[in-house]
Amino acid sequence: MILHDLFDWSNAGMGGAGLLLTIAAIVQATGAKQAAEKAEKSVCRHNAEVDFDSLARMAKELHGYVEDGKMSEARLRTTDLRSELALAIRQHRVFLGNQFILLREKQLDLKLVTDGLNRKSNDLSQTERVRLLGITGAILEVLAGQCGELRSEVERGRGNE
Amino acid sequence: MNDQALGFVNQLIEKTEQGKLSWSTGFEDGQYKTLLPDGKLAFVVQVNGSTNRFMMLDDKQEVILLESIDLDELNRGIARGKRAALYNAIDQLNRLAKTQALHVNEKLADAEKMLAAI
Repeated sequence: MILHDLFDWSNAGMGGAGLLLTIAAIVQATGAKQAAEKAEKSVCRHNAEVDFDSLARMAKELHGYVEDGKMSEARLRTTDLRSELALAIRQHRVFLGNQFILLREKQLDLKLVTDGLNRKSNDLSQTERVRLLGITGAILEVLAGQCGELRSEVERGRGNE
Repeated sequence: MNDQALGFVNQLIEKTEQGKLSWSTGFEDGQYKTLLPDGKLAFVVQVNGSTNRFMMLDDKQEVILLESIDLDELNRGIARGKRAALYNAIDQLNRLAKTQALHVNEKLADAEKMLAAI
């Protein structure tokens, strides 16, 4: 009888230890999964930062061409920037937050500028030239701001690691 | 002509009059644009010289509707009925969009005050 009780107790003990080990393994696996997800998100955010940095450089070039009156170069840059921005917005939508609508507005501006320059790049009115400077300047500002925002988030993420 | 175009322009006139849409200047002279709140649709209206244009774009900025009517078509009787109505509706929407985008009413009120103060 005593032997039987002892056997039951040891079985229960083994079962309990097994359960604890299983829980520990689950906790560890969950932690590893979360860490992997966090790392993946961090890589994606870094990629977004790199893409927006490249977009900001393109926008700076475009603004420079407009300032210098190089309309055919500006026309080509506008087309490139438009397609690259569309791709970046689609790929990195999740990191754009409140800036999304602002970027959509700038995308629309680029579309209108592209159409306008394709129709009459050498025949712009004085007000259109002034407006173009304002539009390209604002695009540069928004893209550089977005890039800075993403960079600080990447750095904050590194600091938390 | 797309039959829906006139309906869209009339709806935009109504929503603009109700102050539910926000218009801003586009790139070309006489061009104004508005983006729906979620950015899924954009509308562009333009009156430049004798040509009235209306454009609707999707979330990828692709043109899904474009209407362009010249005053000459109206004068020569080519544009009649709905097309003539669309020409006039674009004109009306453009005036409303301009008033809002350039804050015309506020500026006129300021001008009145400034002139009165002289």
